[in-house]
Order: sequence, then C-alpha cells, then structure tokens
Amino acid sequence: MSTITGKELVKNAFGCKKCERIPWVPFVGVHAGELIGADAESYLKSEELIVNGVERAIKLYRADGIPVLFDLQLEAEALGCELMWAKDNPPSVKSHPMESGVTLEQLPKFDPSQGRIAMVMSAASALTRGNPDVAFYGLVTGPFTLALHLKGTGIFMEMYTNPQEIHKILRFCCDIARQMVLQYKRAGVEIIAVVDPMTSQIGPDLFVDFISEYAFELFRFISSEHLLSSFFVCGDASHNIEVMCDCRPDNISIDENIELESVKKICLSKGISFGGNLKLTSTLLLGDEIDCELDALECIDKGGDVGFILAPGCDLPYHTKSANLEAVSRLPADGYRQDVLRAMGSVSKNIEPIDPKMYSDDSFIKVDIITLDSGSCAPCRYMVGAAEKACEGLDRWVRIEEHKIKSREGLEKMQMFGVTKIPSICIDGVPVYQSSIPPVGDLRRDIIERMKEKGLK
Amino acid sequence: MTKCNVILITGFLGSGKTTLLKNLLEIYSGGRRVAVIQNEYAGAGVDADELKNSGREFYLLEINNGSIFCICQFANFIEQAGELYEKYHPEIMFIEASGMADPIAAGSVFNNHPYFFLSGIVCVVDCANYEVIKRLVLPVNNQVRIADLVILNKQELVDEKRYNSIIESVIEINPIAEIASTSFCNLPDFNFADMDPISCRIAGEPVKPGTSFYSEIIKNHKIMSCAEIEDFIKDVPSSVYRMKGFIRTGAQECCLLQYVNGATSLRYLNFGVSKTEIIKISII
Repeated sequence: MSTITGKELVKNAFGCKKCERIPWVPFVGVHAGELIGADAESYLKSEELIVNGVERAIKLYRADGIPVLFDLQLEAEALGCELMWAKDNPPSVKSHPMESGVTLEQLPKFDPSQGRIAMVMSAASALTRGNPDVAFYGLVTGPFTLALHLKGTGIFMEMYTNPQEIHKILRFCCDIARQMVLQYKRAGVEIIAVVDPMTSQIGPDLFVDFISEYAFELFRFISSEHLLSSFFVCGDASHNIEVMCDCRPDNISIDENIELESVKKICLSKGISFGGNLKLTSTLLLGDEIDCELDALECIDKGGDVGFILAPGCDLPYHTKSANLEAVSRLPADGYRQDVLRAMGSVSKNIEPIDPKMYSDDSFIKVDIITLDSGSCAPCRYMVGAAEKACEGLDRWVRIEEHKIKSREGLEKMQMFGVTKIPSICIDGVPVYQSSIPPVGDLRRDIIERMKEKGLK
Repeated sequence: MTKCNVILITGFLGSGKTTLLKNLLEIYSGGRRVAVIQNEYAGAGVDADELKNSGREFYLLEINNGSIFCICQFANFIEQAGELYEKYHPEIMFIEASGMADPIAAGSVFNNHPYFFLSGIVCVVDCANYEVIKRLVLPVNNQVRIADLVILNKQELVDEKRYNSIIESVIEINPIAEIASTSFCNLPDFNFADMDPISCRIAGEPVKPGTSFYSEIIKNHKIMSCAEIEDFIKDVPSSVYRMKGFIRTGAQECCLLQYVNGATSLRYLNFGVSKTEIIKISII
C-alpha cells in the first residue's frame, strides 16, 4: 500500500511530476455546512463549524486537498461591502461602497486580525495542525473580482472611460490579496488559490491591459513566500488561458465551460499544472452516482497522471449529493472500477436498441425495472416497491425483473431499452416511467391496459 | 400536466430588463398564471420592489445566488423553482438573468426538466452603451448571439447612424434574431407568440391543449466538419420541434443552425465559437 500522503500527491501534481494516482481536491465550501447540519450563514460565521465541517468532508470524501473556506465575499465584507446572507448559499455583496462615491482612502482600514478573516485564519490553523497530510488551499479573492465588489458593474464602463482609476483600485486589491497570502501562510496553509472568476468576462486584450500586471506580481509574491499557487477561474475563460498562464501561477483551475484537453495542452507546454472540471450542476448536483463516476473518469482520462488535479469546476453547491462525491472520491484510487466504467462506456457502442418483438409473447407481460440497486438506492427501492404493489394479484400474467446498472448486464439492458434515467420502468420493453415513481394505481392501470391489448384478462 | 414555458430575459445591467418585465406582466398577467424569477442581487432588491408595486398578479421567486460572480452556480434556484411550480402551476415563467449571466448556462438548468422548458431568450440591449460594453464584457455578445429576440432599447439616445451600426453588429453575430426597436422597452405591437408554444402553431396546426414540450442544450467542444453537420441534421427525430444554435467548425468560423418543424437552415459565419451550443425543443 502506498505511503504517499494526499498533500504530497497534490504537491507532485503542482510540480508537474508523474503521480502514482491522480489527486482529488473537492472544493467544499458551504456544502460542508450541510454535512454537519448547519445552514450556510451559521457555518461561515463559526470557527468551530468550519473546522468540523471541513474535517467531516476530508474524511467522507477522502480529500487529498481541500479549501479552508470558499467565500469570495470575505475581503469585501472587511472593506465595507454589505452582505446579504443566505441559508444554502454563500452570501452575496449587496452594496458596493465605491459606487456611491466612497474613495479608496475612505474605505475601512483593512485589518485581517479582526472580524471574520481572523476567525477563518484561526480555523485554518486548527485544520492545518490537525490534518498534516492534507493539502489546504487558502482562497484569496482575485484583484478584479474584489474590485468589482467594491466598485460594482460600473467598473466595466470605467475601464474604458477612466482606466487610471481602475488601475488604482486593482493596485489596492492586489495589496489586499498579498496581506491575505501572509495570513494564510501564518496559519500553516501551503497553497494559495487566487480566485478571480470575473476575469472570464473580459477578453485577452483587456486581461493583459488590466489584470496581468497584478496577477503576475501576486504569483511571484506567493512563490517568494515558498508557497504554491493556483489561478481559479470559472465560466468560459478559454480565450484567456494563455494570458493566465503568462502570469506564472503553479496551477490553473477551470470549470466545465472550458475543454480540459485544450487547457492541458496549453498549461503543460508552459510547465503549469491544471485542474478541474467535474460538472457542478448536471452531474454532481442533479446526476446520480454513475453519472458522476463517468464524469470523473472522463476527466481522469483526459487529464492524465502528470500535472492534473481532479476537482469540481467551482464551489460545490450546498445541496450537492454526498453519495455523488463519495462515488467520485473512490475512483482515483480504484483502477479496477475505472476499467469497469471504461468497459461500460464501450458497451454503448455495440448495443442495438431493443426489438419490441422480443416482448410479443402473448402469454405474459414483462415489467423491467432499471435501477442503480434497490438494495442501496432509496428511489430505486420505491420504484421496485411500486411495481410489486401494482402487480399484486396479477402474478399469473406479469413477470417483474430488476436490472441493476451497477453490473454490465444491467447497463446493457438500460441501453437496450433506451432508458436514460434511473430508476425507470418498462412495460413489454417500452419505457413508461423514467426517473419518476408512478402512483401504484397509475402503473397498475398501465399494466392492465397492456394485458387487455394482449387479451390476457 | 402542461409544462411551464420559460422565457429568459438577458441584457447588461441597466439595459431595461426590469422595465421589459413590467411590460410583459401587463400583457400576460390576468389571463395566465405567471411566475417571475429575479436575482435579488439585481439592484439589491430595488428591482423586485418595483415589480411588486406594479399592481400585477404573478408569483415572484427572489433568489439569493450568493456566488453571483460565479456564473456556474446558476442552478441553485432550480429546487425552489420546482416548489413554486408544484404550488402554483404557472404556465409561463420569466427569468431576469443577472447582467453577466451566460444564457446557455442558465438554459441548461432546464434540460429535460419535468416541469419547465426553455421556450425563448430575449436580450435587451442598451443602445447608448452597447458599442463599448460588447467589447468589454464578453457574455453580452453571447446574450445577443443566442437570443430569439433582441430589443434595442433606449433608441432615442442614439442618432440614426449609430443606431444603424448597432443593428449591423447585432445582425453580424445573430442574423436570425427578431430585432425590435424601443424606448422604455415598450413593445405594444410585438407578438411573443413565437416564443410561446402554448399559443404557437406546429406544422400549421394549433398546438393541442396539454401538449408538453421539453428543452435541452446540446454542448460539445469538438470541431465539426460540414459532413458531420449534415449527418447531425439528416435524421432529426419527428419529436423535435425547434433547434437553434452555433456549431463549432473552426477557430475563426462557425455554423448557425436553425431548425423549425422539419425545415433546416445552415449559415456559415466568420467568427469562432469555443464550443457547439444548440438549444433543442421537443414535443413529448
């Protein structure tokens, strides 16, 4: 068994070294609150809850690395932006002080030893002390995003009408970021993620004119402090990957809007590692375990074992299904499961759709239930239960069969029936209910109708 | 139960989205069960208050999308929208997207959704600053590019020459959009029926009551050849009612696909897109 720690794996990947397995860094923010039964607001305001939540996430999701906190409003709040809090989301910035004429000089003095920042740093110290094998990411709000918090969306027009003023604000925000880097360093954090999602909103020419100077300085500063750096962006920033690399971070982290293979090509050619880009919504939030495993496998296969970190595209939504993340977390270390999933993927190319004639036996009705596994998946259990109840007293004419897609046979059946969602019910080979558990009466009526068509009753 | 059709209203901050919403509520509320989704961030609740005071009847869902800058988290509201549907069964829902939202990312939230489908995208353009904003804020271009209807608002603030140049630049990236020219988003003569399959016609026949639609965003990063595009459109299932979007064909070119009721049109355009994105509306 390997003795390499998660932190070492992450560091190796940052250094573009070949890794014995791909490191996995779930970007758990307020989702950790849900794991411990706390709402987002309480979670983000309590050192104890943050420590408990992050430690729970590390254990549950076998994290090689994890952010201390994912809240891009932290610095803005300290600088006088009013926040609007939510129960299942990070807060949003409600007021932009500079929009109403406040100058940089009039903003509250930035004092990281006070307020929520001090609390977060104390949580970071506790986490790094208690979990020495985990790579902690300290998230710093990028200069452009912080400038937008302070200035509001008017910043875009002013980039055109008053560029000097915007540079002044960006200079200020860069200095704030430097202070945050030092705070995280004191707390024992070894990786700094500069999170600047708003840079995806501008083209490469404006990026070079307004962002590059400050980002480059920041990454050089992080390196001079003997820390590792990552540049986080979300949204379709494919046009900016080159100029982001030119700012010389150690790593670039992207979301599903950007093609992983093209980022890999650009980054590795410049000696920069990269990470991403599990789909936050369609798979992690709304999909099931198989969707998530297949998504992770695609990332693993595209990313490769040099310089790649498996991670979601951004902050995980509060309600992300734990089972989905657990499924992803098992995959990097489970080569066998990866092979099974690849085999499943290849099955689809060879399967013919079902021939309804196979179900033309007039002596009975066939009810096929496609499930993940009714033994372990609650909706699947209800679906099987509904089918069994609907068929009560009809045993003479109806045959029920469950196909679990955890097995190759089940997956083949799923593809044969043309079913795309789990759990589903097919009557005589025709999908009738997909991903919605029917009322028992409705299903029984459908079955009896089919029996009548076949002259069975 | 008939699904709720969703009309997404995009446009940069200050372009007139809330004014348009108010005008749409005048048209729709009363006759239809209308829902509105607004991001609380848009004007720190001011816009929502403006709507609430409009005296129109509608169901308002204000979302607090904490990561408003994190456009990938747009999906967080979908659970609340589902609850709203179960409670009120709205027939039409307007979503006022945040100024920088990517309409495709927002639309994909409704992929094969049991209650909702994306039936149309409206983009409100502020004529007074469009030329500058489109160069600075890239999503504004996406909003115009994918819209079914582009509303050139505040037209009175620009002279004829500038106005014509704005129209030209809109047509350049979206030659098939309807374009309406307004002041205060006032569209008394515009018929939203084309974006509203409840009242539209399919193959010349009115849509049967109870017909259900679903929408899906098809995304792919692959560069497609002409032959592959031809293959893709060759066997469109009869259940597909409408498809529209841009296909990635090269670094500096793309193909605009429009398919309505069996009729396909393809236009090759001289600008690149980072991925293929097609909105597909089908009939169940």
